[in-house]
Amino acid sequence: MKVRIVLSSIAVIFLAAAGLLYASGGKEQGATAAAGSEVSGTVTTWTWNLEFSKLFKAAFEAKFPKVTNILVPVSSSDYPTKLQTALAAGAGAPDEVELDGAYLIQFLNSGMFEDLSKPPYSADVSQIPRFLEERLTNDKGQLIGISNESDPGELYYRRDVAKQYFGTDDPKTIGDLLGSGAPTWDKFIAAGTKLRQASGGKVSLVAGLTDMFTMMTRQPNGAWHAGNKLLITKNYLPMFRTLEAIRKAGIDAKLQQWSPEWNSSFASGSVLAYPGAPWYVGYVISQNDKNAKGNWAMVGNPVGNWWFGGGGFAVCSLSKSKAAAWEWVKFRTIDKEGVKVAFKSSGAIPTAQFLIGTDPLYGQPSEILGGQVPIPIYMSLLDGVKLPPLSLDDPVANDIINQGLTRLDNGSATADQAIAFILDTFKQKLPAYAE
Amino acid sequence: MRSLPLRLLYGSVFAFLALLCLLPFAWTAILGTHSSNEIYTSFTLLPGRDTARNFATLMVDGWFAKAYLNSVVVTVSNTAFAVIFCAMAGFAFAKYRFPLSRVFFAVVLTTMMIPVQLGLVAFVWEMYKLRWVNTFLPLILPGISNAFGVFWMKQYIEDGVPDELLEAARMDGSSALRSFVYVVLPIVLPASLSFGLVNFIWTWNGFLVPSLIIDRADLYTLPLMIRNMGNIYRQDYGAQFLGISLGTIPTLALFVVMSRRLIEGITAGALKG
Amino acid sequence: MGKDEPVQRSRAPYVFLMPYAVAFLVFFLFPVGFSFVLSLTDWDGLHPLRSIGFANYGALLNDATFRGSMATTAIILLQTLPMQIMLALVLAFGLHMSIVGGKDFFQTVLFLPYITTPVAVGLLFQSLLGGQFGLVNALLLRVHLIREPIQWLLQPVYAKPIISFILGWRNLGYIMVFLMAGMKSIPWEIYESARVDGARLPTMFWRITVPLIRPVLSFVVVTSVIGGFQLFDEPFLLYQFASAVESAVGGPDHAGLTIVTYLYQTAYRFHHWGYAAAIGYALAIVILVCTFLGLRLLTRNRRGA
Repeated sequence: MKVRIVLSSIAVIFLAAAGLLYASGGKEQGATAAAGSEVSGTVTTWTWNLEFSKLFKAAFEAKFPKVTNILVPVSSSDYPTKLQTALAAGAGAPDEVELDGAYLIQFLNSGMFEDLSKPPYSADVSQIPRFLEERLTNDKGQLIGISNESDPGELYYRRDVAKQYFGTDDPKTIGDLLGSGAPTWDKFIAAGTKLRQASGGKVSLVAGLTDMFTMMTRQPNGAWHAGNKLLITKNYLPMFRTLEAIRKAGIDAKLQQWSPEWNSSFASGSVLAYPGAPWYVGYVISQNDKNAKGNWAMVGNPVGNWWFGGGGFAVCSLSKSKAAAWEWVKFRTIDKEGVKVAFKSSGAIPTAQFLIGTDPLYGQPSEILGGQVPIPIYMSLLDGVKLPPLSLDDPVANDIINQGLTRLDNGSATADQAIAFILDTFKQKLPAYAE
Repeated sequence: MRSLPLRLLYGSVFAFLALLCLLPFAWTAILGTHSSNEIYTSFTLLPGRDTARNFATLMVDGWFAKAYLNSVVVTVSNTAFAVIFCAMAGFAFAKYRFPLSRVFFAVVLTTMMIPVQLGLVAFVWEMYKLRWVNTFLPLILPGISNAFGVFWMKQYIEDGVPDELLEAARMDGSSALRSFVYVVLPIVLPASLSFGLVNFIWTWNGFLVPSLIIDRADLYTLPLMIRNMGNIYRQDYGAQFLGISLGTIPTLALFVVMSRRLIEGITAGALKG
Repeated sequence: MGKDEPVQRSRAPYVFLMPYAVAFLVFFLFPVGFSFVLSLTDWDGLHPLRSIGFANYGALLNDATFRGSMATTAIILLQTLPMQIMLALVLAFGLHMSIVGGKDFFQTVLFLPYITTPVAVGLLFQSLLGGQFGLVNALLLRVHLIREPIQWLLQPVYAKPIISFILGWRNLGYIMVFLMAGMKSIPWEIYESARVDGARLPTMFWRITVPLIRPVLSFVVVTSVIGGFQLFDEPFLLYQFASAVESAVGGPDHAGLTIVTYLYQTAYRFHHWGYAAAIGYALAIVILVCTFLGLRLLTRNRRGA
């Protein structure tokens, strides 16, 4: 009996030690950086979209055979957290960083990224729209990232649903119906009411108020502040009142964006239209709707054009393979080949617009969009896009506004009451801003 | 005294509760057999036909198998370390008097009351600084500093291991370590097992700390893997539920096999508490 | 304690304590200590450390969200614990006295929820409470109790009951097993003599069982309270689908925001590490105070009885 105990204890200790060894072996390899044309080394990337990144890695490694690209899947909501912790501790950060618009501001002035406008990078960003370049330039005038995608927003709709209840799926007609380019939401709401009546209440125009909110806060009158001036009453009160009107008209399906039911609605046909960006086609629509091919189309927006996209790619100053990381960034953003990979797999449009003319690929009709030629349409939707300013207080501000939105969404407050609540909370949490 | 109405009342309450406890497991298993879309667009109580497909999704790049293995390694190691070293510490407190022993033990007791999350941010930062991020070290080693374990073991050893036995062993020329291994350990086996099992369950299901320490998908433990399945834009719920069902098996099996021991152990330990 | 010691002073205890002590230092003392330092700064990890004295603690007192999270945590605890303990007591008594059979079976089955992983529970309840096709809504619709599916996860009013239910479901069997263990130690003669005196089951329950398992009961209550204050996993995972707003956590209108969830949001969504550390310390103080008060109360009662 005692022998057995001793033996099993030894076995357990052995296993534990093995576990420790196994555990320590999970570290990443070091990298060597070589300047010059023969770039080599290891580039570690964090990605929340593994399937797409794998395609990209294959193309990249084919062009740069001496570089190994290590992909680390990280969920998008964890990305800024982990990045921040890694940078704070000075260890464990990826070589190349994706600075998504949602958290870009946190890191813009952190001094942790290379200035890509200076040697040895000297990025040529002349072909990228100024407003994107400015967004990635920090207070010291350093260009810390290159924008990778052009993401003008539009409305995507299902052709079969349109045909069934509106009698046609032609984008021009549907666009007129939904108020594309119209100055107010009236046509939009009217179309929704018509759809609800025609379908006996079974089909809604949009998925929910959160969808509309996502769109409206990115339109030219969607910012919550300008410097220290709070714009809640000016911008958000009318916005919330419109959302209230949408809900009153009964034209939304009361779904939460990104929720499981929302994801399933793409396939079920219970919703006609979704505000989205070019990456919706590859990442959202075709992922959620297996029969998407040829069944979707897009039209322009009422009230104003908007931008629903990412930030850019940067080279981390802590990286030990900066040259290789820079090649990666270039490949992803301004290199002809790399950008084609992105476009082919997800429909992501390059920001460097000159690239668009270089390949007939970009002029081709989209299968999913039933023969529409997307690029010219997207380009036209860039007119008048105004990016809201970024602020370090965005997470707190967004949380407060979201609370107000939730109250409106679940019916416990009117638009005016929700706005009053938001203003009160702002006074308490972010007193530096005033109307 | 044990009247019929009373028995019926008790019986029905127990039956209802038992059902309530079992239902989620059954439901999860059923959901695991449906495709993701079906789960949110229709309602059915019957098993579906997508088990194989969900399993295939789970096994893309072998993620699920890897996560399983990772969970096993982390949990077994953590528990092994916890049991061994907490028993050692408990032994020291129980059978030895040394300067400040009372003070130190009071400190141990106090730490039991302090929430784990107090030092969370600092802990994570420390792990990054030590470059222990994306290793299992931060998930395994803290098992050693389990205040509850030390308390538990100390109580048990104090009352359950007679001093005479230890005296006798010492007379026979046994070193402290030998006494520990041959005298103490066998006696405290039930308490060790129950503590070990609780620790096992707790570590196997652990989410917060692993989520902040592990970035790389090939190092995910099961809870992390299940949560992060699919990409941000679309999650595969069918596969997730299948993963949950399969992931519950070790703890379930261990528990069913050990439940009597566990309850004995808790009984024994609780009496001393 | 207090028995005779080995004559020689050995180094044995130090050796035995060493691993624990080292781990204690690295994984407990340093983080807790550094957290205190952090709570006196406005650090976000990237800019240099800058002391702001006790400003964070002052801000906490005025922070409505923090107060709300304390209230939420306390309400959930109050909604769950007393009922759980009462129910577990009654059930344990029933099994112990063999009012119903199948003791082993029920002990095992009721313990099952305790071994589930919170990630699983979160996902499961999300699907159960989902819109039109979640099990709950589907059943209610079918029996015509409601006409439209209830948005369980969207209405703040349901948040605390749902979380309480999940916690109750999870912990009931665990508590019951502990209480049954305590009941085992009560000698049967006491019950026998009481029966001879004509006592019936309820009397035995209140006069004999409950008082005599006081130690185990206290242990269960104290650990449940401590655990309850640290609640994070279930509320966090229940309300987590990739939200349209990245920084939103804790359910509709913060209805499910417990203290630790707020700590997490402050640290990892708002990037206010200093403030988060202060929240952690505030929580620790609250727990310590409550524990001491609770123990005081229980021991005073014992002396009184």
